[in-house]
Amino acid sequence: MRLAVCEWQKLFRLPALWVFLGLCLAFNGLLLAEPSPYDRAFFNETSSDAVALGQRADNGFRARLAALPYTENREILRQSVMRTEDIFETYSTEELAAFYQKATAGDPIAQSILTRKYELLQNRADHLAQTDAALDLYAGPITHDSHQYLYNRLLRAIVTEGILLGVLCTLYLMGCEKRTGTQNLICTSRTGRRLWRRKMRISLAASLGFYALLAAAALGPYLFLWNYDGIWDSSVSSQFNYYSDLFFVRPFLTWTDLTVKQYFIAMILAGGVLVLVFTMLTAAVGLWLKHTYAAAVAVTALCSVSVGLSIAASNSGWWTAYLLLTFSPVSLWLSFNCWFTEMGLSAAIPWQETVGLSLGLFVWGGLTAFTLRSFERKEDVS
Amino acid sequence: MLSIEHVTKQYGKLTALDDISLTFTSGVYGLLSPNGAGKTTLIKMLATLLFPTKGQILWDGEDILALGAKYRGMLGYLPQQFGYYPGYTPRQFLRYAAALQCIPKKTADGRIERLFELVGLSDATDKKLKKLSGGMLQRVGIAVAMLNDPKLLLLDEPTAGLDPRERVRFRNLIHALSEDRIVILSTHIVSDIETIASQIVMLKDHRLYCCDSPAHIREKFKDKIFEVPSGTGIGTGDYLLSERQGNAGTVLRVLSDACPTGGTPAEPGLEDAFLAIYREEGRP
Repeated sequence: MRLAVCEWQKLFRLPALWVFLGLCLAFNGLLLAEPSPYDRAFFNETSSDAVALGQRADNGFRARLAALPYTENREILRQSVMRTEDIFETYSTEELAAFYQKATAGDPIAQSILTRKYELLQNRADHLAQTDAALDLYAGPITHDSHQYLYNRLLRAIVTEGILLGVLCTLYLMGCEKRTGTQNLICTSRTGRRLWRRKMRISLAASLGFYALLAAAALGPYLFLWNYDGIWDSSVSSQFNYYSDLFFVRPFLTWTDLTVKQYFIAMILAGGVLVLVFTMLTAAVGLWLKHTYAAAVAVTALCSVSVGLSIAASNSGWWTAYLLLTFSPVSLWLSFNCWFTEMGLSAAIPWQETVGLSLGLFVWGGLTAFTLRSFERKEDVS
Repeated sequence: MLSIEHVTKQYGKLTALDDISLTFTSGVYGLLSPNGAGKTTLIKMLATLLFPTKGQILWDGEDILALGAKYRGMLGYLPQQFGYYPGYTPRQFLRYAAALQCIPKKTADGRIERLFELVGLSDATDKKLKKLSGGMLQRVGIAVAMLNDPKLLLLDEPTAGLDPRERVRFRNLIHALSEDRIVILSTHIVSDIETIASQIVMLKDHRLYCCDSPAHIREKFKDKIFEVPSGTGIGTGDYLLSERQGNAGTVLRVLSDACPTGGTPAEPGLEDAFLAIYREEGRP
């Protein structure tokens, strides 16, 4: 019997894992049924029309659209594209910069960090003005709702479930030998404490595997229900797409040109990396504490403290500290729906999520490697 | 050959073992001392679960910690509390243990069958471990410890919780397994090792008290053990070891330099020696 097979078997014999997975699938099923059928019909009809008409909502598009037979949905679309213009030609980030300058008043370091970010964002707006990205239709007037539904609800739920399943698998694999009292048997065998390295690899694979399973089980039906044929090649920075934090509504300005398809793939991949970061965080804590339940409490506490510190920093006006905390895995998860954009106060720099995820991999991967090494030298791990 | 060289183990300020030096060659060694004397600490150091604060433990002249996996591949260990996966059968559990010992599947399967026969578990190989009795679990533990045909077999209080019949069976099993290997059996129950150990290692005050054959240890108390009828007063300097039922009622076994009034000389047993050696320990 191969050891890797044994470890997978241990995991698969855990009833809680299957119960939780079943609940996740059921919840995602409910999420899939959530949007109104009228919205979906509008989205699908717009997508079908975009296959024939193209994505660029210019005069030619309007003329071709007018020539199509009347439907209620087409009429709504016709009205919404009547006065489309390249919003980025006149767009200035100064208003955003000024708003956040005011919001972070009293912390000159935070102010200069944010000013720099919005200067760079202006370059992106200027570039998008040249490409006329704002004129892309995406899904027309339903763009914002459908985009937020996909990324802020469905994909966020999938990523969250992937994280929780990854945490569960990792906590179990790291601590199950202590629970069963088999730690001594393993540590005195030829394989010895190196088994925990294998457990770590299996935790990572299981986390990614469950995330992929959840993504396939939810996004497969989603793409079956929502027709993206005419939408994939639209710029995600269409003028119909925007997002708002508590303070401001702003265009969906990404740090590089992204089509809807590229953004979709990038978000799924980045979500997988976030799952890995949380898995490593849990492994480091689990190995350090060597106790499943204590580690579960510690991971929860760590995430809660991270959120608590962010709130305390913002309430106290320590904006530099607040901006530093936006790199934490929990903060990244909270700002998931606007990844690859400037993210308002949730980001200190361009590509915040990419840098944050890379840092997370580096820091928590390093800590996991360190705890694995120290575990191999630790006395009496039973 | 296994040798312990001036090994000291400290937990903070507490010294659990102090300057222990021992050499083990093939045979059964009984590690005998009262609870808390450091037996488990010593066994755990031999099992590489604990590391010496000072000194070193050598296998054929090489430090066991430096040998790492090579040393652990020669080691069989049955801990005081044998851990297992309740949902596994003994066969599944031994296959898992074989994988941990990096034994190829084919070799492992043959060896597992032989071990089940040896430990008398052939009829229970496919029952869940959670349904086995304490004695049967202990036999699974022995089979696990023997799986890699170890050159060094460490058994930490292996008879704790077993009924007398299981204990006798266990002793016979250990005796059968002791050829061509070092077996170190830690216990505080004298009868566990009296008949099977060729050498007894005794720890006292966290130091090595002796490493000698049972016969030599008993010999030290020759002409010092006496039996007196129950109710006889114990003289100053004499020490009451135990009581037993004789033909004429209860008799007391006494440690004394001279035969007490009404006493008769008795052949010293290992239990007498144990009680005599540790007579001051555990007293308020």
